[in-house]
Amino acid sequence: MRLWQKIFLLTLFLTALAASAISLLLLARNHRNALLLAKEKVQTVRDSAMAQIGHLIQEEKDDGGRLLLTERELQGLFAEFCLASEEFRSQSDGRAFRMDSGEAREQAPARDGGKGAGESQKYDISIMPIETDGFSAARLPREAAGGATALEEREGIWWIGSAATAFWEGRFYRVQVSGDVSDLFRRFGEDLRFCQWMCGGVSLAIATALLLSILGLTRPLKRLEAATERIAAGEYGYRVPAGGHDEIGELSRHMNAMSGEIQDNIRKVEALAASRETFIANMAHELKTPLTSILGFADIMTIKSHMPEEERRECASIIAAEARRLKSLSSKLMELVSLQGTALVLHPVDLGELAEKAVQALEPVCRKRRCTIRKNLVPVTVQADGELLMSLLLNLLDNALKASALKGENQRIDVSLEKEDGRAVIRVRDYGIGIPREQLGHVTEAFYMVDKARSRQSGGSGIGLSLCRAIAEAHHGNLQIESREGIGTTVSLFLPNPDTPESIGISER
Amino acid sequence: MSCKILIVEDDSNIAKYIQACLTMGGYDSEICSDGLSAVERACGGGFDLILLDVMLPGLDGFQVMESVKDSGVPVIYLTAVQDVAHKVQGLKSGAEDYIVKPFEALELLARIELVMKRHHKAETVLAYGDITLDAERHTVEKGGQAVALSPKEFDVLVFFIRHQDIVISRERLLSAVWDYAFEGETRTVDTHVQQVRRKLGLQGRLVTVPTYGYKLLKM
Repeated sequence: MRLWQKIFLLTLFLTALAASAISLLLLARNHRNALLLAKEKVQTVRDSAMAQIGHLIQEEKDDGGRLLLTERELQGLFAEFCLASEEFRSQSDGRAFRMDSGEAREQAPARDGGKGAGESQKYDISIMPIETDGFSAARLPREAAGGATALEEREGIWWIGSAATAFWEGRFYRVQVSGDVSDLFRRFGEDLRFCQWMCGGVSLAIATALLLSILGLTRPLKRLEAATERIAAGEYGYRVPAGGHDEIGELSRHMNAMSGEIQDNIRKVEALAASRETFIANMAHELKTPLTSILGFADIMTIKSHMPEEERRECASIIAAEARRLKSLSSKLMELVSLQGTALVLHPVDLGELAEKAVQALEPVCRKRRCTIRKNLVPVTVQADGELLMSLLLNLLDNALKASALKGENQRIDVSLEKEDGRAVIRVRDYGIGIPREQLGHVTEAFYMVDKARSRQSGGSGIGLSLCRAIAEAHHGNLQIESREGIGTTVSLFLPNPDTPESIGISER
Repeated sequence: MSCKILIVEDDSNIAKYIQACLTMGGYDSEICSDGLSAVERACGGGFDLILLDVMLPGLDGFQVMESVKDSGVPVIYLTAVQDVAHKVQGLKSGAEDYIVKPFEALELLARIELVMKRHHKAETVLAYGDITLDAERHTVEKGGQAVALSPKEFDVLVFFIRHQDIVISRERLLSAVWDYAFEGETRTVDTHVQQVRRKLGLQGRLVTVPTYGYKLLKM
């Protein structure tokens, strides 16, 4: 069952239930009040009838100067009273009077002054002597005092009756007055039917209104559902039309944010996969190029029967050179791979000392290329992996030397180490050939070479700078490359959290 | 020999290697290290075949191919990219063959020979001393006398004459003459070589290289 159907049925059911319950309660309360009124009326009528009869008896006794009236006289008085009052109709049933106001029914409204004109009241009165064996008056007042009132149905007519016991002229009489209250019940029944119709009608009206409003309210949900289907089908760029400030509007906005996030992540993953693919393709190419030469020249040396000494030497030297290239490439690749996914073990490293060592290591190459290195180092200690940093520095210096050598002889390289904004900065500056501006952004990509032929000649593998960047990032630092073609390149390595040698000294002490 | 081949390869050592192979096969060759000058020189004419690297500075191999296609010079790709899609792209663009690096010298020569044959540029009449043979008509003469050779023996002889002074392993000979995928015994090779040696009187010229194979000394 759909949500809107559930809401619709539940609301409709509850509304109808509440409406009918309230109207029923009201009706029942009304009816009970009407019955109470009728009961009081009957009691009043009974009491006044008894009082009048009492008066009549007294008058009769006073007029005749008698002490006691006979039973016969008393019955005559009862009949007289009934006729006189005309509220009742008398009917003799042997030993008792039964007086019905059957005839009076038509006349009663006019005479029944106290009551509303529209209310037709009809009362029966019956006065019956109560047979007592002996004089047991002591038992009787109980019945006499309490005027018992009861409601009963006879032949489809509702009666409300009230009985009391009177003591006249040495006899007990039971005086019972009953009134017809069928009207009340009839009206109650009519009201009930009316209520039922009303409830049905109102429910129908409410149902229509509910249906329209629920459908209207749940339309954004439908839109949302359609949108999730499209997104689930892979259309991550789809956005839910989000409007309004209600929960659905909010949900739409959150869904848009979610699909946006998913789209971003997918793009990232795709970009990562693409870069992996390029990396592997490039790596395969870079590995195969030296391999082709090595295998090829080895093949030639095997199958060629007469080979001049000079040619043999050349072949061997090419094989050795390409093997060295392969070795440097594989060691750099190993470093690059080992950097990924492993946490570094950091020790305090004196950067100044490290830079000094790196420069010394390249001293022979410098001499050969007639290059001078100018140092400006201050002692700075950082938490680092010494070997990796060494490899980074050697790479940077090697690049600088190569760039200088391509420019010519007698070049200079500046190496500086200082503290800047709480970071240690090593700068390697050369005045070599520089990097074209449009290629500057690519130089840290693996296997990117600005000039492939030249790079190969000088033994470059194309992953030196990407290795440097990876090492810098593993130390939470970064690499910054500035260059102008033909003028020179400055590579700056920023490393965080340097400690001064003093503070290290103190902590050690 | 008159065949001239243009080598387009940016790695100088590989280019040198290819040139050495081609010299062994008896071809003339020239080296060219980038796409643009390759197009220039190929269109200048005079080449019978182009060996083209795919990853080149300037224009890449496929772009070079587009430019030289109309000249009718057959092209063989040499590439380190060993991926089917690349290979299909290469062959569809009109190349004769697609050789994946690293490759052996004799494999390169064999492939070149096939292409040359297809373009009728390979010499069909070969001579070695007083032996002449016609590769198309399958006839061999020694001093004007016809010599009867079985088809395989004939192929073995052609292979040796084409690769003089090159030490040829039994496996290489087996794959070249019989089939690349033929898993035969090397003894078959020995038998055929002995037959060729005996029938054509090549004792002392078609020599056995111990533990490796055979070699036909250059005249």
